[in-house]
Amino acid sequence: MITMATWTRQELETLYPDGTVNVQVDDEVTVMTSEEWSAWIDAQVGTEKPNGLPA
Amino acid sequence: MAFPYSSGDVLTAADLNQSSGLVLVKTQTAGTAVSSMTITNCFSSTFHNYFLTVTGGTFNTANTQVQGRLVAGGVEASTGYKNRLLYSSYSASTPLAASSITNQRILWWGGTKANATAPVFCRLWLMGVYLTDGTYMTSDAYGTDGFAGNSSCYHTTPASYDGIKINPETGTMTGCTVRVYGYNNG
Repeated sequence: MITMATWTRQELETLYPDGTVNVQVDDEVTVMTSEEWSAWIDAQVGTEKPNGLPA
Repeated sequence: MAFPYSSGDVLTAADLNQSSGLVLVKTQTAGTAVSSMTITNCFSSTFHNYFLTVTGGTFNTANTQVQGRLVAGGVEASTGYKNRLLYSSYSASTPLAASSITNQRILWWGGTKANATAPVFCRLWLMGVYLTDGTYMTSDAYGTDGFAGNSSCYHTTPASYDGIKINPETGTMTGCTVRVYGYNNG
């Protein structure tokens, strides 16, 4: 049985500290607010780490 | 004036409009450490069908696929995406497949390989995206170091969309350039 690795909140927070992730609309790039960043981190926690296969 | 043109023909705007093929509508390049990029006003009534490429730049996580959502007036459509992927290993002939009606994005249209610093290559065809019907999308760019395939996505909502939002399935992207081309309606 293959067990897929999943993201933990600690891993994601280490990779993407608050204040370092941007969103872009056309030419305008803005830093995520802390609330947006936290929601973005939450959305990835528990998802499979990319391995090239369809998730 | 009938196509093909001959040496010495004087072309009018109408001539050029009827004979142009793919027309570059918009180019947008991602900044640094961008989690998503929205390209607005790239679809319109001028064209019914579009070709979209994502080239160059990098994702910060290896083996990451690009995803997308249709956008209308700056608001992204978060439901209604039906995806299916047919793929196989380079080293085996057995066909494989995946499908999803629960992940509410356009899936499996390319990304980066096992090396996170490798450039990103994706392409997507969109039919009827600005028309008030469903949108039909295909791509043959799904690929990793071990697998390749083609995908289809049907967005079921009968609505008109004027933009698209793209994001890596995880992490961020830097410097990826999106080009949107329209197919001349003639």
